[in-house]
Amino acid sequence: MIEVEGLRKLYDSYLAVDGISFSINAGQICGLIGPNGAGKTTTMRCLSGLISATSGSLKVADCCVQTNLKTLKTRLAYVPDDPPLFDDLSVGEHMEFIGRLYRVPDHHDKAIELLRQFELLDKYKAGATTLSRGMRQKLAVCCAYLYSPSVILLDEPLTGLDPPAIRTLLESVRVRAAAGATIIISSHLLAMIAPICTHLLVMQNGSAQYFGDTKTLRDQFPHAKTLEDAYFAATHPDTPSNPPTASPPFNTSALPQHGNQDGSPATSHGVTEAVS
Amino acid sequence: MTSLTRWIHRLAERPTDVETSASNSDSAESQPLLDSTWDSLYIHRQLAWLAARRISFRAERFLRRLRSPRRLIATSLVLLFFSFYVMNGIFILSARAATDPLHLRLWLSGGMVLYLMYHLVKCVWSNTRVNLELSNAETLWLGNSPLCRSSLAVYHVGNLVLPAALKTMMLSILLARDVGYPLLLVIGTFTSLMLLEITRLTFGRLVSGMSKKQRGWFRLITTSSAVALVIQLLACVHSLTASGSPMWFYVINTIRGLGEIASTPTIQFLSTPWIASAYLTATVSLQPLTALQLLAALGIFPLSLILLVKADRWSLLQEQKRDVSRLSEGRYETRESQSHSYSGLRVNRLQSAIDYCTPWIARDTLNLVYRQAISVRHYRYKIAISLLLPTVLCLSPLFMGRITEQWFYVVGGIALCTILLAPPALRIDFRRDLKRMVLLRSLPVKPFSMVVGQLALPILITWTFQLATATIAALVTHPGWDQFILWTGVLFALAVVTFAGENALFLAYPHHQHNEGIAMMLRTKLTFLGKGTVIVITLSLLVLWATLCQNLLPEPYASVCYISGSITATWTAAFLGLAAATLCWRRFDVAMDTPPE
Repeated sequence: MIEVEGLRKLYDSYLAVDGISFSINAGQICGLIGPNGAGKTTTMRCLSGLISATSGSLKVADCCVQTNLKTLKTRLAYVPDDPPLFDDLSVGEHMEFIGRLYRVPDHHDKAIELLRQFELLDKYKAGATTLSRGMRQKLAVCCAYLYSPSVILLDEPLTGLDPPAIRTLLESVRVRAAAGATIIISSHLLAMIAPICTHLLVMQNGSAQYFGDTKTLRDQFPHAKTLEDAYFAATHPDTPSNPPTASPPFNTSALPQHGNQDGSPATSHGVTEAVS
Repeated sequence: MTSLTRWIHRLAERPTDVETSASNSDSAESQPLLDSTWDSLYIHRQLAWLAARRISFRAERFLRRLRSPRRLIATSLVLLFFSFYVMNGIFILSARAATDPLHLRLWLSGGMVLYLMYHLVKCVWSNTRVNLELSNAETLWLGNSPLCRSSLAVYHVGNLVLPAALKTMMLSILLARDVGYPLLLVIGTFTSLMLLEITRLTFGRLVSGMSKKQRGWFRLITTSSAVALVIQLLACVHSLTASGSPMWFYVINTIRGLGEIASTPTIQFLSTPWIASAYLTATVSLQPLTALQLLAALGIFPLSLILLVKADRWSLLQEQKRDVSRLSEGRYETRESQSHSYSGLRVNRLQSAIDYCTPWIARDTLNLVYRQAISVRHYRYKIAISLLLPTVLCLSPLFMGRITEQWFYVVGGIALCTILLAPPALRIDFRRDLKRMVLLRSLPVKPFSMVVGQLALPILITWTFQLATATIAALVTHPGWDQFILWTGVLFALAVVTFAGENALFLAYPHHQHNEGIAMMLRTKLTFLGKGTVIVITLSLLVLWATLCQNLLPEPYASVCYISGSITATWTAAFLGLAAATLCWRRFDVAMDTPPE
């Protein structure tokens, strides 16, 4: 689970995140959305402990981020947007290193399985520099999944992936959440992630515009036909296309199949529909 | 190399009691955010495995590149240089008189302090925050792993071992004649160099953690100390050299002067951490004390690592404290406040001015220059410091007794600084844009305009340095207008040739800015030798041309012919250099030529 209370982050003299609070339980998938520069990546980096929060209370995977970081890192995986890889290691060696560092039992077999799942097995001996952007993204996800973390933070994981890879990734996210992992997935491709998200955190200018389950967001903006419309209504309330008052009732049949409204993970059927 | 990897692999596989207990206690232990305690041996073995894999990969790539036909010239030069260096060590250096062990010891320990001082001055004037000098991949994969910061520090220091070993090898060949025990020479030199690197890192972290006020004070202290050292060096050279001596006497006495300064009690006091290594290097006879010196030289490592980790922890805490206090006092900007203070109008006016005032053919170049100017503004202190010392050195002949030769010595100094010091000090050209080559390639700018745009600012800055130094020298020595015009014209062209050549070489054999290792070391040495050769050839040609003019033409025409001919010839070389750089830019293949980081 993730519990954040009043997170604020200052970069030199710039306030990147301004007092956001939210809570996500095990098994839930939270879509983190917002325009560029909203503070999404900073929030994720603070949660992962890569950078320290300037103020606020952060509890991730039963660990306080400020005081229990080392234990937290054994339970958490953070996959950044366009992950930098070791230019002088092969795909297999990346997996090998993570397996060793996290002391994963049978890490070689698990690595093979994951690479097969993400169609990277034929690149096992290839150097990292020979990989495309999408392949690098897939390798970073494979490394993250290798030690089965209980909290997974995926920053723009769909960028650069081909449609089958997007389907595989979203399916894997759903499966991991069903197994009890807490997942935050940041993306601009709302239509893609909407079916699997149980919750949404909408950020703008460093603040949280909305946090809650997807149903409540749609209820707040009943005129919105899709989650994307609801997002625009939340982040750009003054635009003429987003009247403040409700117009036609929210039409769920127009949406792709999304996560269950009670907070449990979405079905694989929904994922398949969204990417096909 | 492969056997090393296999050995590390076996080592990493071996389980230990520490590992078992660490693994059991991991879930229960509580580590603070800025934890500086040490990880279990298991973690360090895995990091060693990673380092060995990376070294193995790089070594294989290096050998592959050496065999590549595309790099045939570079490979031949490397082999030639190595043969020359080793032969020089065996046949020439071994025949010279051995240095007194006492002096050798003092120079080694004091020399490290002087070198550290140079790094310190650079560090305090740099705006970049140093975070253990980790690459992006290391920051992500290691920074995100369950490791203590101390392990990251140890890992980084471990990566410095190979470059230090290579430097040790080169120095050992040079100093072999002066010592009785080559093995102790190798150990002493290696430990000295490693300690220097760790101390440099430690100061880097300390400076990163300083507040603006603290940094200001530290800048004042280090810069004034450096200036005092330079003044002391000049005074020392002045006292060592008889008035009217030829220039090369001054060069030799500058090296002697550095040795004298390194031997002073203050510098020796500061060099206390290097004393044991220096004693070890200059061992005359093996005694029980030698064993103690060996222990002390090796024992300083863990101590310096602990200090590095503590400095890192202090730095992180200070940064965190400053952010918290800034937040609580409301001293920050938000996106809204930034958008209010946006100076878009000013930028637009400047862009319009560029568009309006310049012909369309130069607009691309000027826009590139404008972009470079932003970087220059960012690094202005660093650039000023980098050029201040050469200016002082170039003007030092003005303190000499011989009035007639002073002007030529200053000009010679400017030429040397232009060729040797300006390119590493002003890397505001293609060399810093390796990661942005795709972007540069995609710009609708013609190759020649691209080259001129990229090189214009470093050349302009070098011209400013040349003009300022030459003007001061001219005001003191009164060489006459003809000499002033001749030499500034030639020096300006030399700056163009230097930067064009440097960039052409970079585009032909590109490398990342912070690359280290044997390839980089050899590259530096070969470039240095190449530049030296260019200086000698240029001077010889100028002398030949002057002799021809004087012998074949009557006096008033001889001077005019000599000046115009020299300037024309050097500027022709400058344009040829630019053409070569343009050709290399055209040839640069983003996919093939961009080396891995």
